[in-house]
Amino acid sequence: MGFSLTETRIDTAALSQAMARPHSGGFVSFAGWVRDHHQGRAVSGLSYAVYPALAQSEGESILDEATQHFEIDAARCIHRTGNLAIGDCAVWVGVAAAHRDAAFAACRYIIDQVKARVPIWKHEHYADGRSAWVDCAGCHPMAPAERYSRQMAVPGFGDQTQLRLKQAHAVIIGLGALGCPVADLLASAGIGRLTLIDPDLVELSNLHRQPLYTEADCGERKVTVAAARLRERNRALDIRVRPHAYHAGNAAELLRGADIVLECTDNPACKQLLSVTARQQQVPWLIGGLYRHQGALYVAPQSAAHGLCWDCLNADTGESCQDAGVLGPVPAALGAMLAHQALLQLAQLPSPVRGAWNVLDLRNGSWDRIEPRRRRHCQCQGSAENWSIQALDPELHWLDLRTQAERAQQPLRKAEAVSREQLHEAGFLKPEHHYLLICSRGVRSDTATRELRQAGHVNVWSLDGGLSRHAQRPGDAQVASDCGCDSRRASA
Amino acid sequence: MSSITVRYFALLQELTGLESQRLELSANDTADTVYQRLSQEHGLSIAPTRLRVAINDRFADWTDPLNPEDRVAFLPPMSGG
Repeated sequence: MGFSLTETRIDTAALSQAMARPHSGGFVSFAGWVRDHHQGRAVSGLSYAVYPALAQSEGESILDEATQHFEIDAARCIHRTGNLAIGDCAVWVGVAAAHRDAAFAACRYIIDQVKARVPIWKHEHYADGRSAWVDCAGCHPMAPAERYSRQMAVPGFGDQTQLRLKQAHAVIIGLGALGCPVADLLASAGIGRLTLIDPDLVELSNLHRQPLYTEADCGERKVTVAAARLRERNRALDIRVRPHAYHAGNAAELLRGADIVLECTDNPACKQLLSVTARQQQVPWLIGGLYRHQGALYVAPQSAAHGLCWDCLNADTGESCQDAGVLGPVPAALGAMLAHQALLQLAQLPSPVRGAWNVLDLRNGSWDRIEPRRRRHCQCQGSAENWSIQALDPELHWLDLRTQAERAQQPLRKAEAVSREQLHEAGFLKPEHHYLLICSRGVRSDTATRELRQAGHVNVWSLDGGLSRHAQRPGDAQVASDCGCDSRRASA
Repeated sequence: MSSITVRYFALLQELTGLESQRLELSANDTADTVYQRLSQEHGLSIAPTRLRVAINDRFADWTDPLNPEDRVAFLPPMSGG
């Protein structure tokens, strides 16, 4: 049994020894001891109250999650009940893994989750003869009203709404520039459960725009650090971390049971995938994007049937922060707006910005609404079920035949720039690959496609009409050429 | 008549002076309505936003309907570790 409760002394040496496995190259353990002080008061001992059946099942769930999320070989946790003296071991966590990173991360995850989620309560006995239930100071006379009083004074945000927020589950994809303020504000507002998804480690270059992290966090997992900071902000929350990318393999599972999902990455493929999955699962979704001094926000309409897919929505510039740069105040402002919209949605209040792009420019403080348009041929509107991630056809290699000047004017990040001469070089086109040739008006790509097909390359197509036919407005290049409809193969 | 069992832990056990009690179920009762009645009966001032609820040894929502013989528990903020 991975998780257990015990009334007797925890034998940490024996537990450690039992974790040894031939496959494991590392072992990390954490032991929590009873200390003689708490918030400035001298502590003489403590006792734990426990709800055994629920503690057991919740403890096992946490170990299962750790085994699933981290590459570890074994995990064990044992928690004391009853009366303990100073120096006694109160809780022990052990993790064995092939490599140390996973062992450290999983051990940290387990102890944090156990403290927050397992129904065990600490009753401290103080040297002055008094005693108290730890972390219940805020339970007395309507503490939530005190904690959230300014929020609950806003019309529509009274007792019932605060309870609704506590029962809500928000999923945040990406704990970077946008994810930091979003997670911080939602945790502060009392959203009961947060799932944080991000595979990245904190880097020095993140710090100017990602306020949940400090210099000391560099090299640590973002989700682990973020969860610890958010728990300091609001201990009452149930915060789960997923140190993985959001991808087709876990997209549906991660949205199960979610009341809202916020896409905060700088990755268009992730936004595209979320737009499909959230529409299929009917989870309200929000997307944010950043570009230098500007940020864009999209809040899906409440009915999935009225929402557009990402490829129709995409007004992306084709560059990420990494390429284009961004100033720290932009994500701070846009993240606050995303969090605000999420609160309105969870509070079941109307919002005038739903269903359109809203672009914030911090240089002049403008806030412009841009109505997205459904692309020709795209079936997304009103028929979410007809749409699938297959439509993106990730197997297709895009080759951009345009000149450097044309590319600079209308970037197409996903495409590889090539010349017509290169296409004919022996070995350039791989017979096992499929190619889409792209130019501005479809003339060059069409000619090249015909030449290549005559030369025996059958897996080559031309984007019919080129970018100019598909792009609706500047910056829409990616909209058209990401299109999942059949038109791009029509001229083959 | 159908009734449920309510269990108390930690601070709530201390405040109510009870480990558990039986309670008559009314039509359309949820954990939320039951907690409102009990907080009046025992003079509890803890808002439900501070608590979690479990029904039959599983975490549940405040709005979940209750059935006869359900075991309901209201859980103060946890403080293990």
